[in-house]
Amino acid sequence: MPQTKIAYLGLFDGDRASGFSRGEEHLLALARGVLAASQGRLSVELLSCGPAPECRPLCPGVVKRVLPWAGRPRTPWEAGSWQLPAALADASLVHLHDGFSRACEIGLLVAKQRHVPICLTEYGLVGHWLSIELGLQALADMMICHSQSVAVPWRARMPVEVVSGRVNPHWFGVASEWPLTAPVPPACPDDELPPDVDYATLGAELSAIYHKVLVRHREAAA
Amino acid sequence: MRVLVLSNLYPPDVIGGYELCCRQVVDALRERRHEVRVLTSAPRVPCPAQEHVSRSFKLTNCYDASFILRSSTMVRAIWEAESNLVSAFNVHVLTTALTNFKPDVVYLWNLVGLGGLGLVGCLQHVGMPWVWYLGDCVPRLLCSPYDELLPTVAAEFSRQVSGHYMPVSQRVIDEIEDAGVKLNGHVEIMPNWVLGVRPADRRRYFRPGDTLRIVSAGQMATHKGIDLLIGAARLLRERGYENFSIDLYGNARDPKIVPLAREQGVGDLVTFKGFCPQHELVARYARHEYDLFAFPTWDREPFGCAPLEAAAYGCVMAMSQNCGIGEWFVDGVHCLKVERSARGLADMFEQVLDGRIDLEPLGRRASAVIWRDFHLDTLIPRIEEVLSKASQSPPSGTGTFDEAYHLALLAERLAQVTVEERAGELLASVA
Repeated sequence: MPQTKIAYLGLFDGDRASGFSRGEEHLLALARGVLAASQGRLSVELLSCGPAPECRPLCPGVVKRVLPWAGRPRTPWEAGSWQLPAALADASLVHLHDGFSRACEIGLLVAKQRHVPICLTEYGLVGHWLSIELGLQALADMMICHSQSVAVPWRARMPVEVVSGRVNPHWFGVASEWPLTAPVPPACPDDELPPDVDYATLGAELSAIYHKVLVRHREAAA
Repeated sequence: MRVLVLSNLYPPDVIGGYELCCRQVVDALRERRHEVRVLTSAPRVPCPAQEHVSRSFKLTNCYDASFILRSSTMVRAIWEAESNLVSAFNVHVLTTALTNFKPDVVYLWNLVGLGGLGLVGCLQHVGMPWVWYLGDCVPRLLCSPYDELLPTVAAEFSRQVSGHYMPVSQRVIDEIEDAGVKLNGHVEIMPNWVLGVRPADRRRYFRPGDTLRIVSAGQMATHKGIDLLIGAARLLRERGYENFSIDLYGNARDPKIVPLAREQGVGDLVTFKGFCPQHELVARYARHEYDLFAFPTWDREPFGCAPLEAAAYGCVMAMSQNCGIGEWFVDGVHCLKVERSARGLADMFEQVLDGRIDLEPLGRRASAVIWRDFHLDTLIPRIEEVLSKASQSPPSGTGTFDEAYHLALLAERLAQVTVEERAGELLASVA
């Protein structure tokens, strides 16, 4: 049976800023949970942009791919790659794990223009570019929240799913809030809490959400 | 049919044949009872209002060469992005027009200066059928801000964009696709045309001993071969010929061109006549004021309306061997094709002056073919057919206008930061 490829974008930039690998560990654990629940129907590619391109399997069904970044990004969150559109070419669904990195902005643009369904994890951060300036979260086909309070304002506007676990985005490091001029905020401060997540449960929830989004998308296209 | 026409410029705001052809087709479609709206840019000079023309687009300053050259690298980079890639403002204007006018099909012309890729992307996203008249390699130009093709943008264009294309020559298709920009969908080559009523057969052609009256019209620039024409005049004089004249109509964009005739000692044989409205020029051809239309243009000339108009009245086309219009006419039957050099032109003029080439049969055959096959009345049913076919094609996308505008806003900002970074790198490398 052919696998359906899910592309993950976001959270990696904080790793580059801090030198930790918190984003990668979280996304890998999530992907493992999704794969276990999907019984081999899904595969996941963890995409990011960086100075040292690489492509290697992290475990069966999960590939980590770092695309060569374009130019000289001023902050880790401004890294983009000319190869990102091609890397997304065979993705059946794109899951954006943050709303403040250039890679996620490009992923949103490319996927939406190609009519590839998009899931976006919303943590309730305020003051960031996509949200405050353009309200672009609304372009996603499904918003995924870890709490009801974050989900409530979006329910009237778009499909929203609330999933289990508590995920604090500051654990991974986030870009400066607008209009702060400091380009790089203190990344991954020690006093932030790590994700409190049962990845097997969360993976099963995400797998079901992806299935629902893909079915709905196929029906709409038909 | 309800047809929405998009063009960067529209008469009386013109640069060349692209906009004039656009108006001619619009008028022809309206005469045939189609409901046509034109969406173009705010004019660069005041224009009278026309009910069917909305000048709401914003044109990025991409044609004012002297102003562009005086601008900084950063400013130019941002203009290029807005001109070729995306202008969210213009996407908003487009979605508003789509909402209000509800066209069956959108007829695209030159989109440079409007953020053309954004407009095409918008139409793709919302599934609006379109037909694109390609009087030049516009898709390639749009994928090439800063005069350099962006392979990722070209690849995305090739992957996502599909519709109906009407290029004016195979040369245009080749130039676009050789760069890696694929034209997906239906491609039908459609030549340019002439207007008017077929005149009585021309009786007076050049005979040896007469003065050979050579004309050229268009942009007075080296890429059009005007310098070669002046060089040919010098060579002819050196060979002892004085019974010829060369009249040149059009704005001189290159300040070095006009003094060239005097510098080469042929200021009395070559006359720069300046800009001449199209109808006045056609009237001159109709009065048989000229014998030969010289068109020593560059290889990448997509078509060339000016020689076609002249040849309709028996003024024989002498063109460079490789140019778009040359695909439609046979050397020695309808026209003269010549090596693109001053010597090549001089040799050909010399043969005409000596009577070794008789212009009359060439002029008669070309005129007959043009009035039969290249009149807009002949071509407009084919254009209608393509528009109709496109309007019935299945939609390419199911996105909403709001989404398309949202995407344009995002794309515009991404394009701006990208070009800003590129220009910054360029400046840093120069420093």
